[in-house]
Amino acid sequence: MDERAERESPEAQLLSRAKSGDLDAFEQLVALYERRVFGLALRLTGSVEDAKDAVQETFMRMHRKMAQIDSGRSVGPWLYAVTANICHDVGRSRQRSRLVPMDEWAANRPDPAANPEGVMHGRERERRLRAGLRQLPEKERAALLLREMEGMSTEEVARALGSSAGTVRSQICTARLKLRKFFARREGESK
Amino acid sequence: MNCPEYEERIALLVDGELERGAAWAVEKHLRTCGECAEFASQMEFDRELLRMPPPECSDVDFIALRHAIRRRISQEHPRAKWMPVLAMAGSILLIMAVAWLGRPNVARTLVSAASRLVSTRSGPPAKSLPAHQLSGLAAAPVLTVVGPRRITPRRTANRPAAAPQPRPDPDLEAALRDFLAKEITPAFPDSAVSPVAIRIQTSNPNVVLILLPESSGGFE
Repeated sequence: MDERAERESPEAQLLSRAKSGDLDAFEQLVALYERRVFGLALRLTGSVEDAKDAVQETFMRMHRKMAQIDSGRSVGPWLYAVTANICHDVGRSRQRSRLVPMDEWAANRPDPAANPEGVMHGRERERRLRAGLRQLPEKERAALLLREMEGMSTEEVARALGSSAGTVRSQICTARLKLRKFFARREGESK
Repeated sequence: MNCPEYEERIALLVDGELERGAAWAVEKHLRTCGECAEFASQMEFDRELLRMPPPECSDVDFIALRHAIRRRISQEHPRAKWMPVLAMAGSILLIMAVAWLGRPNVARTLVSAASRLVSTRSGPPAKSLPAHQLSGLAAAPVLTVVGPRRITPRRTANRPAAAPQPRPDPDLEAALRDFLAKEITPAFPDSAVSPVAIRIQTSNPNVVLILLPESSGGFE
């Protein structure tokens, strides 16, 4: 192994191998990111099945466009940007087919598990979070999730969503406020 | 919340997007306003909630998902699956072709065919390149057929020198004329011409094949 390869991170080495056609290296990259991509897709689409499809499509796109990924950077931001775009397409196709995901129905129900002490089971908490995210416009939701779930910088989010840094900053701020007000309203209803 | 003018600034503070001076002013306000402090801590709680992975992540069969991705890749790139088989088959064919071409009689046959083709070609002769253009080609690889310098037909290769041509014997010719006049011509009294129908001359002037007509009309 040459000096340059030794300096590369394990992820960069996997990417280099995957670029040269090593399918095992590609699968290791998939294993490294699949849970995070699934989690992001699940919160963006609100549906487990849509999220699974988005995961497949994201990694297929990664395989097709492997040469475009910068080996010097982490694969993560590139993958999350692709996931956001795919979930955007999923949302549009769902609008066309007039399907309503289960989580939207759940968002309109009173939350039986909500209580003043804020003690909630993990799944109930997740259900409430997703109901809140559902209220946000798609761009705001994507910007907030990329920032919080994946820890992307404002510039990275802007690049991923094709916006300016100023727009993203504003979208994230607005999304936080809307989400907080949604939770406050739900807590008020349950009291 | 009693201080709506601080809402946005608290959200920016939580996000780390406030400049130092503005951040210091908001933090100072939070120390004095309980309701805004509560709002800020709830916003921090929301952040923690967002950073937690969804519980469904532990329900999904990611191995099956990976298999599905692998299947799709192999469907999209069927050539990749067959490439090793094709490479192997190509190598075997190449080895067989080299072995077959290496047989001496095959090489001779090919060279002979090639030389015949060149000698019987009716097109215009190839234009030769000037010397200054040829100098650049000196290092270019050339395909060379290894074989005998001059190919001679197999039938004449070991043939002894031709024997001297025999002279025609005048007595034999006279004997033939007498034979025809005495034996054959009387058998065809009505014929105005010689009854000799076919005379075949060989390379030896003293050996002549003559086909004579029968009285029934055929040859013997």
